[in-house]
Amino acid sequence: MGVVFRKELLDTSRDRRTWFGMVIMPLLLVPLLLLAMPTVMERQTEKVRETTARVAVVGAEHHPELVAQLGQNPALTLVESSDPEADLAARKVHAIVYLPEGLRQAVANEVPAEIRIAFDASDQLSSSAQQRVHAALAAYSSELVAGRLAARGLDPTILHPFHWTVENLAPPQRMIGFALGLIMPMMLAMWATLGGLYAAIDAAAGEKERGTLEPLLSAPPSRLTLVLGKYLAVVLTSVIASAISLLGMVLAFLVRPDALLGPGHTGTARLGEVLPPTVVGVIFLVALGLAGVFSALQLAVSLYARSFKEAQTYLSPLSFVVVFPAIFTQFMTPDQVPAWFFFVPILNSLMVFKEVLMGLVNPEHILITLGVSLVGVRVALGFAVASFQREHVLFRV
Amino acid sequence: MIKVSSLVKHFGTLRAVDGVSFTAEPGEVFGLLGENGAGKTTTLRMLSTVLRPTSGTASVNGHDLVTAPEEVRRQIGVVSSEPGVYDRLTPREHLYYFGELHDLPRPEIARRAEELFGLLGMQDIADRRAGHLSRGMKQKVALARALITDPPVLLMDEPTAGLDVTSARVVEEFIIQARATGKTVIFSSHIMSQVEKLCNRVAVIHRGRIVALGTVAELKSRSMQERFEDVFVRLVGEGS
Repeated sequence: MGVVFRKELLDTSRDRRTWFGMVIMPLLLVPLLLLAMPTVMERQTEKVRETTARVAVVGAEHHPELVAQLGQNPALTLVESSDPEADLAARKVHAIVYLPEGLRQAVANEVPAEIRIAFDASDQLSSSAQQRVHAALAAYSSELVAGRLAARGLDPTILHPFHWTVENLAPPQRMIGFALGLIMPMMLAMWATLGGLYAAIDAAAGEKERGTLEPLLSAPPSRLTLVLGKYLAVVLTSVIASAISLLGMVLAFLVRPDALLGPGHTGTARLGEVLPPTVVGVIFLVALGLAGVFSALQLAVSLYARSFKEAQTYLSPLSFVVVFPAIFTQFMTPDQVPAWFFFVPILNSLMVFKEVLMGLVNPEHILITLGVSLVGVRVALGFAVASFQREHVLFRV
Repeated sequence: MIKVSSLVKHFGTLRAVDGVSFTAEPGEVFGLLGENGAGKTTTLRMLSTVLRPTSGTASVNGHDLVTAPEEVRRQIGVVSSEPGVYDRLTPREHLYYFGELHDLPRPEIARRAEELFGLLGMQDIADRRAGHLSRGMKQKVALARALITDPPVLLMDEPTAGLDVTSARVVEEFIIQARATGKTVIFSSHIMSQVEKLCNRVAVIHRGRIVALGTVAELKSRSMQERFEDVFVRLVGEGS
């Protein structure tokens, strides 16, 4: 078994596709998602914030004071437009304010009036302009209300019985755990299940395609020995891919720890607090369980295929098996999920990854997840071994 | 020595091999001659234990195919029409891999590898990845791989298919040499001249059955034909 295992590793280590899937992708994608995406989003928000919103007012003559007030707002620039709706579609104007006829009189008579704001929700700048106009109108409205109250001898503060401040008491490591819990479970699960995909395809369908399967089957080791040697090599490849995605996460943390803290947080956290040895150990075991099940399945399916390409066609949809549950559980917190989650393969691993990254080590959840994986390994490996015994699978034409 | 007795292999309703019997002695090249689909490859695959016979028995150096397949595999070296090499491994690594699969100690593999590289003129390519080699060179890798354990029995299924004249000659010379060193060689082909040149005895196989068995000279005299090709055509025509 050791001979087959070593040969498969040597062969795999010389395959560029494996390097790309096992090392380069997890090493780059994780820091990219953890660092670059928030940075890009931050920049985009900043860009929107810095851009002055161009606003066209229709019916300005119905309340010149209000228009003047809007014109003084530094976040808004009032523009003339003969066809505001066409200009909005052409993104020359970010928002349109329609002032109804008799607005000034209605305000003076303290009769409620309706002002319409039009914008283009598919344009980020337009959405921002709408919010700014809304805020400016709300501020002007408050001013009017304050004036009316004062005219009646009332203190405007009676409108605000409370004032409040907001404080985030979550320690930095929990904030980081929360940020990691959104992205990392999918990354870890994806590479634990798919990191060895090319190795599995190469070890079975690849043997068929190259014509190496027959000489191999004519060698003394039993088919069980051959399958186990190949299987262990695929499992190791998957676990390494998963470990490299974890390394990518560590690199992202070391480069910019503050990026993971979220906006407005000023705390600091050490790597050892975010990723203590227990957490690394649990991640390793759960990833190993996932790799154990999927490597066997991939080997069996790959052996059924006639060629590398056919195996790829059969196995590519496997990524959805991980991605869908990962998206489904992305915003769930571990304490909200029902207990049966931990009996469902993949779902359970994703939730345990999330739990431990958030600093919650629940032995019961971990043991159930590992137990389910063990049963999965037994079934999937049995399937792979049986496939290697079937002549119509080995010599399918 | 190989003893085959009433070997049968069914694939669903197809009787690919239908009661084949023969013996092949050490120091003999035994030819399996037949058209494509006649049952040559299936017979060889059963002898290499890759396929399990539906019925019948066969033994290789006294080891039964079904009850002692692992022992059978220790006796044989297999070469087929497809070189079947790992593109990312070098010829030397191929020999180490297959040597170790046969539990050969590494120093022994190293010694045998050098010997085979010399014999097959492969010294220059021994450490080059197989993916960069020509088909003829790849077939030499397959030959060396089959010989790394110096097996007493060689099963060769159209080993010169797709090779140029020079490479095919290397394979032929190699078979002659194997015979001289006392190996039992089963050699399947549909090339008459090759069979005539290399085989001590020939079994003409058609639709899974042996329709004639003997030396080339015997088969010629039996069917009163001078050219072996005519002998074959006649036999196959009678068998259908």
